[in-house]
Amino acid sequence: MATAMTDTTALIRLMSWLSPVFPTGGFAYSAGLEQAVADGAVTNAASLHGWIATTLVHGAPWNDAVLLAEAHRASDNLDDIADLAELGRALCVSAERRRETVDQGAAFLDAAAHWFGPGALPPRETPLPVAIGAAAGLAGIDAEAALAAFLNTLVTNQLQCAIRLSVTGQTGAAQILAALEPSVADMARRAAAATTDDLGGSAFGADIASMTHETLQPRLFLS
Amino acid sequence: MTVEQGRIEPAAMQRSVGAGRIAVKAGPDGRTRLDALHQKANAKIRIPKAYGTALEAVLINTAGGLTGGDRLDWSAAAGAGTHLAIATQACERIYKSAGGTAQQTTRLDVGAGARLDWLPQETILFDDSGLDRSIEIDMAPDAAFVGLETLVLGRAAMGETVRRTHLRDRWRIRRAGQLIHADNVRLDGDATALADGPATLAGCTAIATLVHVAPGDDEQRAALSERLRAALAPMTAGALQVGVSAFAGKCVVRLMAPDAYRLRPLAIAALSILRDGAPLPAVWRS
Repeated sequence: MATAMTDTTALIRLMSWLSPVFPTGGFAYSAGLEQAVADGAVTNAASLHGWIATTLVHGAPWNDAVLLAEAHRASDNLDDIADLAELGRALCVSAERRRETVDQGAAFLDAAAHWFGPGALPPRETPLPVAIGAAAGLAGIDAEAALAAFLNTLVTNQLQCAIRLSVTGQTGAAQILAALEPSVADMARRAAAATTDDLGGSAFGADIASMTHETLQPRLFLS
Repeated sequence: MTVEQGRIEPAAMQRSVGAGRIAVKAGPDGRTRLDALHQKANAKIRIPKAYGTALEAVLINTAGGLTGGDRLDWSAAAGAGTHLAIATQACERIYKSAGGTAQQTTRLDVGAGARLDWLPQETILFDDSGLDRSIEIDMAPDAAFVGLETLVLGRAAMGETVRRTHLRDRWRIRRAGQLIHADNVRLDGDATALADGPATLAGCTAIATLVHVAPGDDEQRAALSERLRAALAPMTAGALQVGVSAFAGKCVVRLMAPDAYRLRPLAIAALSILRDGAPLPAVWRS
């Protein structure tokens, strides 16, 4: 692992990697939220808040956070990273969820290559959280900071989707973002200490929404 | 019993430790035959009269369920060119734990050109129960596997609700050494917090996951998922939910229902399609 960078440089780096300039296309994926809206499970700011808060803790984001933390630890070992990438792909419950994490991982790695020497980053089929964890570890960015940035970006992506789906406006979205801040911080702290033994969730409804979305017509999002 | 500070504490309880292993091989007539059978303590394996060319095995936990500190290990090997269908005699009850969690492991090996069907009946989690379970499946490149696991929270028919439980349920499927499927289910602590949210249990207490892995291309898998959706959609009403997705060499189905009684017809319909209409083991039909 590289020497730890200054807090300011680390903050700028994370903001760059998770910014809309990066071609990760978070805006194109709803992670099942579009299906939940179509099913009437999410209809307003209150139910949106509940959906995001629940899926964050009990759904795929928790597994993603654990994978990011493990990849951060293993960042200088490409064999371990390859195993985590395989696990990340295998854990996907649906075709769209897999495409979301793999395509965004590839796009992230292409763009992040500008900060690294050739061959330093894992191959393109690495899922997004594993790719971010590996890159953050190699850059010497603190794991908990990287986790917080990653999880908060998942939340803002969900809120942007909700605005496009007319579930809430910007004011409602900002209110949810503020309310979820302690949750994001708590998850980042817990995930930083977690290992693959801590993987697991119980977001069965969100899983089914993610699977069903592939048949939803018409639709705005890729997942 | 040991007496400590005036309270009576149970001494370390004698818990059940069962293990059962079955291996099958292809006979000269092409039929699947028993190769090896090992049974320890409360783990028993019965071989009822087989149908067709497959061999059917029924797993029995004679302890009648699992509680904290119990351990149960099953393993099965389907040799080259065989077809092994495994069911359980009864639902597996995970009782209230006086301490610790029950441990259950299952290991399945599916050889070249072989097929294994893993068809246990429901696992019922009682209030205050604890279960750590893992199932590991290793497949040859051209092997086939169909499996399901059904979790039921409490006995709805008896008005029982599960307020607290500890469940870790872990699936891993490897084909030619490559991990192609992983699923970790985790229910920790307060189950009532997950009960009604649409993203979690959505008012359901019975959840089934089915996985199908077999040789074939993406087009065949897409056709399979279409057949599943067409068959299951008319059966879903009210709180019943069905998710189907075929990708990366597999087809995954998740089902949810308010109770085990309403889940069963969905699981049976899905299994019928995933198993090309083969009849379910007799224990499923009683």
